[in-house]
Amino acid sequence: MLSIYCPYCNEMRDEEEFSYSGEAHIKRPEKPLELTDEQWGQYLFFRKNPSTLHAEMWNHSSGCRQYFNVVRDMQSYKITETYPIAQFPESLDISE
Amino acid sequence: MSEPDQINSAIKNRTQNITTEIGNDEVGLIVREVSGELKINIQSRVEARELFRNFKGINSSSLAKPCTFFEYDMGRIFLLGPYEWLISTRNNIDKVKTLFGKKYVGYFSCVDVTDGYTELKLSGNLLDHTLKQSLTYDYFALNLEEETESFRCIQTNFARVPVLFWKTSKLSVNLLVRRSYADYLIEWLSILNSEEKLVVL
Amino acid sequence: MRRLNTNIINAVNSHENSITVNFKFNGKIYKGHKGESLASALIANDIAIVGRSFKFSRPRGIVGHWSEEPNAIVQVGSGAGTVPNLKATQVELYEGLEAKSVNGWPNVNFDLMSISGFFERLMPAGFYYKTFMYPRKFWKTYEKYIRKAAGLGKVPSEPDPDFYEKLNHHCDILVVGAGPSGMLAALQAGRAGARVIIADDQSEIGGSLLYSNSKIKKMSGYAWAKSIENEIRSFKNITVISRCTVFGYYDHNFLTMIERCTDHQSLTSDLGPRQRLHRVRAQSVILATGAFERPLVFANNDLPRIMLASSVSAYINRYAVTPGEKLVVCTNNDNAYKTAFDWKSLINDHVTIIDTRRAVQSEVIERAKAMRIKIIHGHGVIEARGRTRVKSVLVAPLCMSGKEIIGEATEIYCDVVATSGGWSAAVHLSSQTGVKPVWDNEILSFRPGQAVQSQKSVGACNGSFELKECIEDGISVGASEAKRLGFESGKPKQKIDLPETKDEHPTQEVFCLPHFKPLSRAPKQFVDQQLDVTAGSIELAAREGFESVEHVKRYTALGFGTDQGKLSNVNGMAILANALGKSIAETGTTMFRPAYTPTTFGAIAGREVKKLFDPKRYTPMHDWHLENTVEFENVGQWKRPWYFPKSGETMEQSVRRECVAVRNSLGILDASTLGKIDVQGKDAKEFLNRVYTNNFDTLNPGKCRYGLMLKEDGMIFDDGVCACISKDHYLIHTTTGGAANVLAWLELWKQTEWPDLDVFLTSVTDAWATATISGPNSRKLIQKVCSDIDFNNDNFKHMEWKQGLIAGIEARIFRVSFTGELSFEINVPSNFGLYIWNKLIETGAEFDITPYGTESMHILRAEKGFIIVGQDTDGSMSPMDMGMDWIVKSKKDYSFLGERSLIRADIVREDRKQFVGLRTLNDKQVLPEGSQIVRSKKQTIPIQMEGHVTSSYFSACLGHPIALAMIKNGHQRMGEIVYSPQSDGSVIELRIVNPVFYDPKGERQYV
Repeated sequence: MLSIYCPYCNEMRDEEEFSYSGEAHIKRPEKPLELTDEQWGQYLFFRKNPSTLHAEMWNHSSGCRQYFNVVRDMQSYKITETYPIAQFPESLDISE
Repeated sequence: MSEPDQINSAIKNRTQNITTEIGNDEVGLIVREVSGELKINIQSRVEARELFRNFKGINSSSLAKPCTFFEYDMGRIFLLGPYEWLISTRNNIDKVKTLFGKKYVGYFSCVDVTDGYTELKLSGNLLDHTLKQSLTYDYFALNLEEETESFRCIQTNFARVPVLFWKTSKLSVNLLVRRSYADYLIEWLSILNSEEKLVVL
Repeated sequence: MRRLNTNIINAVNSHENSITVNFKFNGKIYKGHKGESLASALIANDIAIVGRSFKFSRPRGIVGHWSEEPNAIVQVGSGAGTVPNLKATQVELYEGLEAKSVNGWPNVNFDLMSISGFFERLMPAGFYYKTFMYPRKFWKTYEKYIRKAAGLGKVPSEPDPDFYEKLNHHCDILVVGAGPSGMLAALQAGRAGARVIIADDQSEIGGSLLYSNSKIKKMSGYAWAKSIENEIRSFKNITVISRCTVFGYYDHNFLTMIERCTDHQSLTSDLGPRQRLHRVRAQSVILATGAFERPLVFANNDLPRIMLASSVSAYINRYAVTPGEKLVVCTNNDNAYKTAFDWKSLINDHVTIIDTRRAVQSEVIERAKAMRIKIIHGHGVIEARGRTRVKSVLVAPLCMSGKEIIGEATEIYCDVVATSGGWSAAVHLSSQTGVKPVWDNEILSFRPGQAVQSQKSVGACNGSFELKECIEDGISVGASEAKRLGFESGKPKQKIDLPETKDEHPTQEVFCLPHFKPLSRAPKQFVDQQLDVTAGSIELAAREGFESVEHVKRYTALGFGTDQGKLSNVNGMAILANALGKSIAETGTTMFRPAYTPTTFGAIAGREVKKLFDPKRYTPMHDWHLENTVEFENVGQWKRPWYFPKSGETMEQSVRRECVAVRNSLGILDASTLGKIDVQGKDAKEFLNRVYTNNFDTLNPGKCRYGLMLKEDGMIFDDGVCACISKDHYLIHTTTGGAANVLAWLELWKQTEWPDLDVFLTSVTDAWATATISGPNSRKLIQKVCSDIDFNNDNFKHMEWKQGLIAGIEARIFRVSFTGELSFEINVPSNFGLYIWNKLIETGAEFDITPYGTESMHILRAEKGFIIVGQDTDGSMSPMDMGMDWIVKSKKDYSFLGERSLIRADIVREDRKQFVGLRTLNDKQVLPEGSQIVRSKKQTIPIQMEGHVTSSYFSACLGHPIALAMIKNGHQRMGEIVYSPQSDGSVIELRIVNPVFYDPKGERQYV
């Protein structure tokens, strides 16, 4: 069971208080109606699937109910950083 | 027709099973329902000091400290999240709305959620053992004696149900739970402490 | 009886309160001592055969003294409290204990299955895979017999009468194991002020010091351990938990352990929990789990009374029993000499040491000589002989490497063999964190690999097999970990008496002793006794091409048993390495996974069983429901009234009566469970426009609108009525089960994509109680209880809401209908919910007001073709599929969630399943929900599926069955006949119809 640092409550809490919310830093396209099916499909369905570090969103559902970002190693499950929404990670380059 | 019961609590039925007196060493866990104060949910991105400018008796720096609550002259304010507070007050909702004034109308929400919660106070010599079974949170350092202006409160799971939880003294804790879960919570507490050891008031 | 008369300090039964108890084993009654292990009592009563082996049914005896025991597997007790597959070495005796061997029929002394022993040749490794393959159709027959012959123990057939507790702990340091290193680590950390928990699986703490005859300066090891224990227990910040096994090591230093509270007192527990699961989150973990001695592998090494050397010592020192009269010690290391010393001092002179190593100058050899113990150097036991227990051993001279016999063998008579092949560090817990153990050829053992969590290994489990090293390790790591976490005591390090270091002649690298005959013809050499895996079968696996240790484990079943290979893993790997011509380091070892030892399911469930299985939610009117004979349905965590049977009614009768009553006069439903979210803020309208398909620009205060919510893939996610309370203030409703998901979805968009919108969402589901009155007489009722609203049709129209007083209570009344009848949903603050409900029931009596539940509610809405999200939809239906094109409105500024997906090629294709109604042709059968629809009666397999039935009921109001379904291109197929094959072979004939069965023009709700 993971132990996660909530950047709003400023504390480590057990995984049971959180819900996982998928890959982080996915921006909704500005003009969906102008995209092709393939471009829209890319946004809808395609996700990174790294075996190393992964930037993902978690929600503190039993706590402050805020969404925040986490960078986690997909093999060891070690969490390298947690940071608020709208910020960028230090331990991972999310540009690709 | 009879008058409506002003405090029609969610756990009324359970309060009939009092089997031991309070103060008796035999009692393991005492559960009291706390009522009488309104619960008002406030949300806003306006800076806290500005938003609560008309509230008396507030130390404004306390308004932004996560997982804390503090007293003001008409009650207390719990910080639930970076943009969310819960006011517990003896005032009525219209008076509270007046305190916010007209300046930020449309930029904050103020919702009376009193009936949506049940507040319980737990005490007794089995409290620690009960908390160890019900909470995954480390409540060991929850209230440090040095704190005077603001006090720790946390939102977490208690018996797998989300609650707002804080220590009221060395030997007692309060929790705020959704009304619909209250009866289940009492059931949890009674099963954990065999019948003779639980008193519900 | 084989009890020793001497007063041994460690011995359990030398304590003042040693009590004699009676116990039963395999149907016979014996005497033992309270607190000693069942294995010890069996040895004391001279019982040698305790079971039969799994495959060959060979007679087996006790090998070890704790969790490494492979053979003495017993079923304890009977009835509801019975427990299968406990190791007799771990069962503590109490008065009236009953135990049985788990295999051996008719009994362990004469087992018919041993006939299979004659066919041993034909049952090599991979036996099960190779033999019962053909003919394939006979597998069912084979399976029946294999199941009878295989398996261990019996599961209880009655519910568990005991309860179990689960506790959550946080600490600075968790110390696993309270042997010498663990105790000192905990003590140092506790002295420094850290919060320490120390857990040990034995009944008393002290670890190896309980079982051995060691000396620390002038004190006995046991007394020294007791003095350390006293000091540990004097600290309030150190929690000691004994009879507690740490069985799982998970992420981020989260560990689980089980404490056995009453297993040593009785079969079931009269007071208190039977076991406790402790869940611990530790800042730092210190593993002090010790090491297991491994046996040497030689021919017939499975004969009863061939035991581990340290176990023979344990029975002598801890339990004051002797396994026999004449001992042979077979060893490749110095440590096993201690067993010979214990035997010679406390039992008799009949002891011989067979050491595979050449003679050297060493302390143990000097001591042995001084005690006049015979040592045969450079020899090994190559075969044991006997039938029901060991009778003699064949001893032969070995070459320098120990791999070949270089001379004639001699027979030595004995009735106990103490074997020792060295020590294997218990690296299980550190491996559970994903770290592969590393082979250290210096100590001939695996060591923990580089830790990935905040964890340290100390003592024997880290490869330090000397007592002095263990103690020093414990002291230094306990202090350093505490310091790392910020704890340091000002006091100077207390001086602890350390034992003297001994010169050790290194362990020889020998695991499996040779035999005269080649392996395939020699008597079997057992590696894993519980699963009957021999050295030969491992070599066979290697020959057949299984080279990975993971494959060999599965092919031979090495390490599969309840002892989890504690005695066999390393030997097995060494034999495999030899067969492959590789080193052990190259061959590697398998990974370890929780649980470290078998664990009770009940303890893992803890209190979360029966009434506490899942949290339950009740509405404010629940008390009334309980008093009025209702059956409940679970909707998510809510308990909702299902139907309200009058005395003697079946469900069918009750539901028919309720539906008819609603349409004819008046019904009342508790609708408090629906999700309610307060949406406020200057951007509230814009927010709703983005999350719903509807356009809310035209929804004015006092008006309501039915809204549909999609996910970005265009599929229906939730629905509900949205009411405009005032400017910039709305109240939206969701389905009961979807409430939490909808709020999380809305918050996701609000926080991550649209933080610039000023909109605030507050859940008010629990704050409002809702009583829905429905039927032609609902207006009449509400006019009686509410005096300050004009309910006339032209003043209070359908899809409007108003505020008023109901029996003196402020209420919000919504005129919305889910039944298709004139309907009002009355919302009051929850604390008044029951009061208002009672008022409505009382006042409604004159209209024969009928409470109805979820079943009737489902039928009434189905008659009107209203969908239920989650019943008629499953996340793969778009609004167009459901015939709801009318609800999709494009908005000018922002493309609402899911809009773009509605024009994806897959969503607009022609043969999508569409929402329709179905009538059975014979108008009698009620289609089972989920029934599949096909085009014609005569089709060959594979049959093309046209769709499925989502809702199906008997409509009392219409007098015939109705169903709702999703059928390919359904909207174009009105009137078509289709079929539904049923599982009993029958086929139901159906006609596709409009899903609105009752009041097709929808006039009744507008009256």
